[in-house]
Amino acid sequence: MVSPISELNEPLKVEELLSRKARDWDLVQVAGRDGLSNVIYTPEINRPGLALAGYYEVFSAERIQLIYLASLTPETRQQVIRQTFAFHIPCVIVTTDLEIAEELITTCDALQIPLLRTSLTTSLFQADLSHFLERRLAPAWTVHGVMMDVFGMGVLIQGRSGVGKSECGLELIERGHRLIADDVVVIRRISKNQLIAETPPNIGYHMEIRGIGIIDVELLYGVRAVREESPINLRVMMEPWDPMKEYERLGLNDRESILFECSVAEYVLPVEPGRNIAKLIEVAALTQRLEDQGINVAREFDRRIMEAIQRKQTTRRPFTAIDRLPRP
Amino acid sequence: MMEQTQTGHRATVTIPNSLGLHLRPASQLVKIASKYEKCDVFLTKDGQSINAKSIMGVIMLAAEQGSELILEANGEGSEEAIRELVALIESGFGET
Repeated sequence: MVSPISELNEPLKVEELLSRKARDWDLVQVAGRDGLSNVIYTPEINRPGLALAGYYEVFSAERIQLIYLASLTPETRQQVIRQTFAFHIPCVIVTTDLEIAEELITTCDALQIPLLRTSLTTSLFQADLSHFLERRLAPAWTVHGVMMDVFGMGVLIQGRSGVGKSECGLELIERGHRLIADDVVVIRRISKNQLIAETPPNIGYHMEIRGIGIIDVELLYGVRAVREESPINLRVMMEPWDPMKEYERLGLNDRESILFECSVAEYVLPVEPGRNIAKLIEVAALTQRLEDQGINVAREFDRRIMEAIQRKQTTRRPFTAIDRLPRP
Repeated sequence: MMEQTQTGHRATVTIPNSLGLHLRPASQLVKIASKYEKCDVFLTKDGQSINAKSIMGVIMLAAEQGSELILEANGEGSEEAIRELVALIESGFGET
């Protein structure tokens, strides 16, 4: 049994936006210091256009607002501010270092709404902000397992407690692969069919090894042994060898499994004394890499065999990499 | 206060000790939660929910003194599990 899955919904506050992105985006807070704990719930961004013309029926107040009011006449500006700020707005941003109307500053201070300014142009800033918000607010969970980058393929190793996942992770690190997370893996669904795994907050690259205690992988093995995030390309299920169960022997069958509504290739690896699971995981990662390139070795091999049977002659070289080279 | 849920039991507790849920208290908590093999135990703080049988999970929450945690247990022995965990937390893990 794989341990239960938990939801991870850390609220995104304006202060996090500032602490993580102020430098990249040249963000400066101009007003509304008391509103830093305002929460941003939606990855969408609003650029009020209709609202400036007085139409508020579909005003998306819960979004971050990108506005510029300095060009309006003082009367219109006051009216727009009055109407716009009647809604509960989490945060207001002015781009391209545009002039900021005095009333906007006083209103934001009074209503405790952070007012930020960036030197980036609207199109650049909006794209960056949107990308950040989509990722940060993507649905996230934590699962029990070990997440490794093996030959550039993200491998999520799962299995019940005590089956040897962490030891297997250590062996993979020894072999030059990278640890993303041990025990608690943060998984984010960043688009319809794409999952990424992240190093969990507060834990970093610490591992709990029974009999030894807590170790720090980055300290022990250096910076080449760790990575902060990775897409999930395959999932390896480690389980004690069950003589009654039939394990995959050909690789002709579809390996698709569903993880948080995304399809992920799944390899079930039976554990038995003497089996080097780390080595098997390397092979699984490489096999999946070929599969992702459209090469299923078992099917190609089968096709060769069928051809040989049809021709009634043995084939000396059944399928090698050379056969895939383009021919003139 | 413990309440019954559809699948088990739940309680809300406040961390009393000044150092919060650091390594030693976390391991005490995990040790107790792990005793209940037929029961899933979760710990939630600020919308983040983790498996209470994992030391790293509990550490991830970084629960400070005064923070509120929701304990949830689903399955066989959930009532006893919650009672024992609440008692442990309220005792301050033997710390001040």
